[in-house]
Amino acid sequence: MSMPAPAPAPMLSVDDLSVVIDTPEGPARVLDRASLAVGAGEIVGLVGESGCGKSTLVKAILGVLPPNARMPEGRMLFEGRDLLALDEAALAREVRGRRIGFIPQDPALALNPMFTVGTQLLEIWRWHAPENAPDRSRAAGRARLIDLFRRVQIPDPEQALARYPHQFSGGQRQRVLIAAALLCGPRLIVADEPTTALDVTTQQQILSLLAELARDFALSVLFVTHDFGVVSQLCSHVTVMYAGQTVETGTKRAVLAAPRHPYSAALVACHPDRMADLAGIPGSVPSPLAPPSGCRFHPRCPEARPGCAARPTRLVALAGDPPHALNCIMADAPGPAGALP
Amino acid sequence: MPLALRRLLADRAALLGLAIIAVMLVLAFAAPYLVPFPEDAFDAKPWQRLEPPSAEHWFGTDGLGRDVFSRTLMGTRVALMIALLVVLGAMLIGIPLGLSAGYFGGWTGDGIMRLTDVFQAVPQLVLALAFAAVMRPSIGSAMAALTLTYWPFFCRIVYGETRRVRSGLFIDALEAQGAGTPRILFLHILPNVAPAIIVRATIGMGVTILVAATLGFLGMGAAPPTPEWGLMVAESRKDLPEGWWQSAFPGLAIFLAVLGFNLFGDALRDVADPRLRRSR
Amino acid sequence: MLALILRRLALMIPVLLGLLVLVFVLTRIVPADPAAVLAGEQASPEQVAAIRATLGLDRPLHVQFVRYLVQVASGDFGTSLYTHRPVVQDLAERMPATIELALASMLLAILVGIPLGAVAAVRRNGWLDQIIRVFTIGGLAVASFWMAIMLQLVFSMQLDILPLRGRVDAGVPAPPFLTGLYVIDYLLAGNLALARHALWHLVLPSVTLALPATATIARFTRSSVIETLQKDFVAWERAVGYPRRVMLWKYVLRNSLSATVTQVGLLFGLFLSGSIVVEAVFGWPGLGDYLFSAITTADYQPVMATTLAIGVIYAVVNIMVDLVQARIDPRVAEQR
Repeated sequence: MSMPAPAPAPMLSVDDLSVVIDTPEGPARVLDRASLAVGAGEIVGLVGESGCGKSTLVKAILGVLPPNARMPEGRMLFEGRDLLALDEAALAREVRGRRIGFIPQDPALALNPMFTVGTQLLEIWRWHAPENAPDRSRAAGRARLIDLFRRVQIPDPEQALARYPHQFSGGQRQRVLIAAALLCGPRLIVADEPTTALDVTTQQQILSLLAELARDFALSVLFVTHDFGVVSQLCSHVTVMYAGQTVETGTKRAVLAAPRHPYSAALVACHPDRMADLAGIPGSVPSPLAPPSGCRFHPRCPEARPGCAARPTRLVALAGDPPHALNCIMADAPGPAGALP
Repeated sequence: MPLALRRLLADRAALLGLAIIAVMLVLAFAAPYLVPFPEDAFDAKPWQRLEPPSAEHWFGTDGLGRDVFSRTLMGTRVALMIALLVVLGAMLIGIPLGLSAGYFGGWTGDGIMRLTDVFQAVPQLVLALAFAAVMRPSIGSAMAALTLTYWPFFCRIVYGETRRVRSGLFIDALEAQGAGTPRILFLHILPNVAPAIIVRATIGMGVTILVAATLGFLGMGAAPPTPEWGLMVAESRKDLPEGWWQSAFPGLAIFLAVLGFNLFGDALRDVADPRLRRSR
Repeated sequence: MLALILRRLALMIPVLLGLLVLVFVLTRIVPADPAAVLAGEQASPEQVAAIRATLGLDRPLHVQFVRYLVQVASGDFGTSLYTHRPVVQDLAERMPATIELALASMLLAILVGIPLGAVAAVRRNGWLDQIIRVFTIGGLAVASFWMAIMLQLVFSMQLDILPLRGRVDAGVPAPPFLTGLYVIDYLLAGNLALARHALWHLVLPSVTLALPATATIARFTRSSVIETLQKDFVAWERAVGYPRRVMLWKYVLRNSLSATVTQVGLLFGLFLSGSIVVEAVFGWPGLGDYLFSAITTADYQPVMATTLAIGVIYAVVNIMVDLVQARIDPRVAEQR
């Protein structure tokens, strides 16, 4: 072995991204210098309570923020391209559907009820059939879609194309949407809580399907969830968000075994229950209209110290391997701090 | 409902509507004292036929030499009176019928609602024309025809709202406490239905002004020389194209009056109940 | 689907029967005595009584009604006292004129109203939306008869670029009857010049009739597009990279139209009542004109027949609206 290879640039990197939504009550900073990285072949779990900015981050990556949202600072690189420099049309033309596949949260609502599944999915093919595909015709798209339907275990793939969304079960609809995400050979899949709307058995099936597909297609996956059980089953890395900020990020092994941020620790402690009510952490996510001073978590933090409210914290890389970063005053302190008793 | 009121007053369109309605109310009472030639409502002045708009006659004079400006302004009273009485009359018929249909349901409710179906089986103007035709053409018969054809709109909306309110648990509780039916209907259900009625009545004012003018235009309403807008437009047709002003201004008056009630009614509906959709 | 149609038709019958009773009672309390009118001014009381007897007007009201029903059931709507022709024949002759007018107006209202509403929704709260809002509220406040006269004044009398009245100029022969719609019939007959001639005659009446309908359609399209834009599937369509224009004009609009289509039944009401006024002003020989002159002359057989016809058209259009909606929205089709 010669020189150690330099760390490859991640496929997707988000650095210090802020999103401000102008509301009648004033500007709401729903993302505050959030950071995220998804490397090639990684499955990154994005975890946090509802309202902590996970969905906003996903929308920002896909470029589908509401019109009253602004991104005053930050950087977003995907395959070396600056996503923020692309306009809406270019994003729709070159990135969405083509390089990044998207799996939505609620399969019951995500498909247009008035069009057949085939029409809607082939519309993606029509605009995003990969350049290197031998045949970019509609027939070729149809054939590929039928293959994919078979791959995601939709019965009667040919007939399925002619059916309307409401004629599928919830689990099947999610399989349809997974096929849609894979259709044009993306490198990255963004899945926004794809199993929350499903029953437990179906959840398990969809998760194993995703794991299998990610391996077989060599995909990177950004998997939004609020369930650490899902993370431990599926992911290779974890990013924890709180109140619009990234509070901790690292490999699954490191974060799950020894969470450094008190918030991550509390989340892990809740596992495997749902995060709807965080046992052990009283209070709720603060409003982005009036975030607390200093560390945004300090009002709820069991480890809060006098300094926590004083100055805002930043995401700091911890020394050592594998990479691990922490957004906490304790990151400055030496030694393993923050693990709850 | 101070919040609702504040939202209403913040809506420029609503304020414009309100301003138009206010001006109309003032004109309805005071037009005879404000206009330059109040006697022109009725008196012909053949020596000044078809004079174009001028400093003396702002809207010109009509085929009988009457001041169009004075007559148009004085038409406000006629239009408002017709609309107000028609809407009130339609409410008097439609609200009790709608309340009882919605509250009692069953055979009574079905019967009443089928009756409204019959009345709404053809557009309002068609039926109103038929009603007006069997009476001697006059403002009174036009009003009667409009009332007899507009009540189903109130009946329908009150019926729907009553059913909605009735399905709420508190009615059952009231019945269990022994509250009498009329008491429940008028003290408990009516107040809940009132916002919908107010919205419908406001929009109904606009609709009625429009349909009443149409009846007038078709000769089924006010008789000459009443300064009624529809009639004025009808009378002006023989002097076209020379006397365009005597057609244009009464029509503009209709437009403004209806616009005022529509703007205000629209805003009212948004404030009172976003579920209500415009149906007419 | 067939069951749906049959059920709706069955529901329609009692309502139309009720309408018939209503109009029948109305026409029998007409102060003008049709027998006297028919007999003429010099007729003796005996002659009037004789005519009354032949018309059956001397019988009790309910007997007259049953007789009338039997007559109607056999397709006989009586004879007009003025045209001296069977009412059915008059109606058949005048129906196409009204249909041509209504179709032209509907086309105009849809072609203008839907894009206006969609644009207003997409540019929500922008200046274009404000302008369209003024138009939609204002369009419903204009009296059709006044609008008709103003259009005549400007385009026919002053500018002299569009005809004043009628389906064609006096003396121009009607096209051979195929559809009854002049523009189409002239075209089918290969007479381009006369088709254009008929089309020009159609412009002012149909614009007048279309104005309130356009405003209504624009209004409904706007609110339903706004509603649709907030749906999850629009977010998905954006996220998977549908081009914006395809998403709006194909996928969003189709969803919104299902709500707009339900309004078409209501619009037909606007057309039917509007046609009375518009046909009167423009001398358009259709149903509205027929009904109006029958009403003013106490010619009650045509009044009843026309009112009933309007009721039938109104009901049938509403049933058709349901069917079209089932075509647009696959979920509706299955619920039934």
